[in-house]
Amino acid sequence: MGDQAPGTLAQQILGAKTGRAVQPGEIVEVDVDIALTHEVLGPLTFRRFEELGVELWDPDKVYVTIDHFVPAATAQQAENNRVTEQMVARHGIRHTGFYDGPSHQTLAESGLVRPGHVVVGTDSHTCMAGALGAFATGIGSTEMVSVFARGRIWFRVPEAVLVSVRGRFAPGVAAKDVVLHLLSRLGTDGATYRSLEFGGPALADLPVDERLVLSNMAVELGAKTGLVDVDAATLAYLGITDHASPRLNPDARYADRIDLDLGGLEPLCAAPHSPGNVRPVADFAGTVPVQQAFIGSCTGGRITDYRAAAAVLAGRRVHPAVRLIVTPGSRKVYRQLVAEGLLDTLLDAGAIVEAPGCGPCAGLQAGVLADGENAISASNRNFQGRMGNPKANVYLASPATVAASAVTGEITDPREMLACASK
Amino acid sequence: MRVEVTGRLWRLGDNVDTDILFPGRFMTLGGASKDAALQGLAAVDPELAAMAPGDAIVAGRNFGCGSSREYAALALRDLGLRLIVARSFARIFYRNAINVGLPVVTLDDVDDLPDHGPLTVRLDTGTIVDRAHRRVFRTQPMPDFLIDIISKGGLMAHLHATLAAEQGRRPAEAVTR
Repeated sequence: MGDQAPGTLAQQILGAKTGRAVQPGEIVEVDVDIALTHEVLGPLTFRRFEELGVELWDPDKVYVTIDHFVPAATAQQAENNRVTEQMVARHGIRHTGFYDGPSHQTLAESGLVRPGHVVVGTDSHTCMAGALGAFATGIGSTEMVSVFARGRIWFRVPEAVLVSVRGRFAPGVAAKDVVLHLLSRLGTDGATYRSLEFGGPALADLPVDERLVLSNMAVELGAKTGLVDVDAATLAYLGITDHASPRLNPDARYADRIDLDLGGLEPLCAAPHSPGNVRPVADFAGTVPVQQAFIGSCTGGRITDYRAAAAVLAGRRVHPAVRLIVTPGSRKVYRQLVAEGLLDTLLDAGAIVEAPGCGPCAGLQAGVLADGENAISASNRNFQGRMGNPKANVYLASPATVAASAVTGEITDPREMLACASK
Repeated sequence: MRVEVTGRLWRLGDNVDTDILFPGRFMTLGGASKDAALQGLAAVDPELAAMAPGDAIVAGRNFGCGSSREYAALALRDLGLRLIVARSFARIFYRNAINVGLPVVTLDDVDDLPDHGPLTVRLDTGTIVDRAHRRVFRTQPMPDFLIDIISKGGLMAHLHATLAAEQGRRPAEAVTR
């Protein structure tokens, strides 16, 4: 890139791939490092791909999971799972995550992603790999057919928004509340076509688990990708010691800048039927009874999420009118729940612990709602019908808020309970 | 490229999401069909189940937000919709629509469009002509390479052509199968 100052993270990554400096608005075609698909959209993708009659461009760059239909709830789901396993065998794909947890989490844990990679997946939350410094985004099935055949994809180089974080969270506040805050400020199309890039002095205090939440929900703001600056914690997470990663340049030409004091945030909640319909949790006090609470998914199923939930649930019981459903984000997370004794805390409180997977987030199995029911969920979307029933309501909040609400049976600010516990 | 809307223009609001356009429970090889889209839309407004070939959708901001499920765009195309006009599109849906050959146009003043065709849309010049009311709406022309994909009927047909051209330049053993 000559003697020019480094651009935004998106520019740096796409520029390195293109072999020259690139500017927002340009269309570039780049090589793909990782192509992700799963049993929901993978079978369709593979069948179309096979119509082309060509070899997969690079089986070692394809990552396939079975994570939504886990285990299958219907014969049709089971058929999708079977076809997925057949396709993986037929095309010589080695990198898989079958019944291991949501693809974005197992991909992050797999060690396959490197900062500077281009990652595409037939799932909108593929953008989560941005927390590891990869330009990662969701694409459709036919677009993936093209990637399978050619290993390349076009992008319009996005403008970027810099979100600079400083300060420390108050107890009971977490990364989920950062995203909900951004949604309340920008709306669900506030970052459309843009690269959302996170940096700032508070990043060092934010574990990678929490950074993954920021990238994961970038798509809820309409963003093309959600990149987080790479540091020693990123490299440690990936198990590498040295990597020539693109680093965030705060002086790059950002289209917009948001300066955020984490210490000024409070627990937030998105009411039905939009992730952008955000208000402080305190505003809902005593007004919204819940029948289901969910802590899991690629957004809210990591060990840090369960630690936050357990801090609320320890020594308490889930309200008798509430089903608290837990789906660990991966087998690794599940084992850590056992090792840390958190599984006992969850079970003692009355949680229903299900297989690692997407769980009830997408309304496919394992926790579909009845007519008129309210759910509070640590997942990412509350569209009408999202949890399988258009006549039900989904509220989005942090794992701590979900846990507190599970105990009281209504949407509840977790700070009340954390304050009690510390007395 | 020219697109003719002959039927009704169905008006939808902002943030029409993929769970409405194609509910998740239909997303299997055996369960996916265009009728799934009608079930999702009908849950919002029963009248939408009457959408028919030749019609178009006129929507507000952020149309198609949410999931990457291409089924959402595919079902609208298979219902025979000729066009989606919106104030803005969610980016994955926008690409999916083009990739399945469903024309998409971004327009600010969607409220001024009529409730019924005929409308003639030209993607290359970015114009929408409402002859009955003697009105012309102007928007951004679509880049040629995207029009090329739509006019071939979608990315699959385009890909067949691209691969055939590339195969002509590659050694034969690289393309066995």
